[in-house]
Amino acid sequence: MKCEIAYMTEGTTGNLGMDRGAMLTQMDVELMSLLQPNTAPKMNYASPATVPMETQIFWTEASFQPLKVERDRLSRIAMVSVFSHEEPREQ
Amino acid sequence: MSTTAIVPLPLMPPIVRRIRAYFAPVNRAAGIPAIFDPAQNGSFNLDSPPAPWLDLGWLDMFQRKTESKVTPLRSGAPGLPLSQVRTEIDSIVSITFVNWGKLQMAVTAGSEQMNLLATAANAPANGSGGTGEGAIPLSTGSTATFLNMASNQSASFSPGQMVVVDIDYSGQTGYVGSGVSAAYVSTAVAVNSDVNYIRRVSFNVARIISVTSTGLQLAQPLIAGTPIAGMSVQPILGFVDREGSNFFQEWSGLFVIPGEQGDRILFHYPRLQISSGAAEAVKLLTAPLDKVDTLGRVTQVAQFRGLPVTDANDGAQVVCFRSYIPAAATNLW
Repeated sequence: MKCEIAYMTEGTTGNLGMDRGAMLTQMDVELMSLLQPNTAPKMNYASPATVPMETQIFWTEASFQPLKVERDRLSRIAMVSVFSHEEPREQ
Repeated sequence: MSTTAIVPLPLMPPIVRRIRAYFAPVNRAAGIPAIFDPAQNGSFNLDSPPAPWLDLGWLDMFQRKTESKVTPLRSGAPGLPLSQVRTEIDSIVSITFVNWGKLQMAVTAGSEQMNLLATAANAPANGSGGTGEGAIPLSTGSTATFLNMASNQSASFSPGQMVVVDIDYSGQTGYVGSGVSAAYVSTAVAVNSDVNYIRRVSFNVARIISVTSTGLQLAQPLIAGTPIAGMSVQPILGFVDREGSNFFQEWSGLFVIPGEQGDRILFHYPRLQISSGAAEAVKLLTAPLDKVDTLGRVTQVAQFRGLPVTDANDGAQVVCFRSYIPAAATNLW
């Protein structure tokens, strides 16, 4: 599964948006830390009670696309591929 | 008592991301390699390997190749293979280190790995570093991370400096170096009876993070542990190895491939010696955000030959142990 993560910032009002580049870099770092570790237990949300499954889902490192400038706003899209094993009796 | 039955999963191909290398020194004088027991430590935390294993970081490439030869024993006309024999056992491992450091350089160079000792005033130029300046003896009470010395002596060091800690050379022959058999001295004449020779080849190095009136605080623990009486400290500027020399380093190697499902493949070579000279490769650096194609990352490429040890379980002579720890709840075949 390919995931597209989009985020944007126009900086802080106190700094009149002049810190938008630094803010976007912070968001890049935040995304990279969110993706660590690169695995998580696979959960079954099909029933009301969430059931942990036997395998892990796992994903690639983020592939960052060049930043875009839209008026006062900086934005970026990062792509992550997520993988999982199909477990027996899984639909 | 009864437990809830688990539902075993079918076998899954290992999905792996990277491979990590750990090395441990071989006691050359006694001929004793470091043995990794996968039954006791196979699932160790990759960031804190069990002693005496040292983490040398993630590898860019790992490739192992068997050069063992199997020959059929034939009989009859035409000759039919009745049985087989192993006529040669040989195993080659190629790896690429991403990081550069004392240990990474040492294992890839394969011969003596020297420290660039800060030189004495007017020392003649020499390819592996000129005559070292005087070393400062340690006081009692030093630890693997703190070097105790008089306040007037610690003042000559500064945070960020690199140092080596080892005993003086006083005519020893054979393997020298604390913690790691760093070099082999055939005669005192061969090393000019240099009092700093052991510190020149020693692996007992560290970087100073702070200086106090009582000594030096180190960033990493010394490989040889708590300093013994007679050890001295000397500033170093870097490391140097040479193409040539007749000394072969020998290390025990452990390579771990963690799987995404919690499974793990381990390759343990109790005795590894370099089978090629030091070499480097350059990879273009692509930053996560923007492509920068004028920068390159220099990696160290090394090729090793596995040497045999005796497996205590059955007396077999082997060069490598390959272990697999399956993911939880999977079938076993």
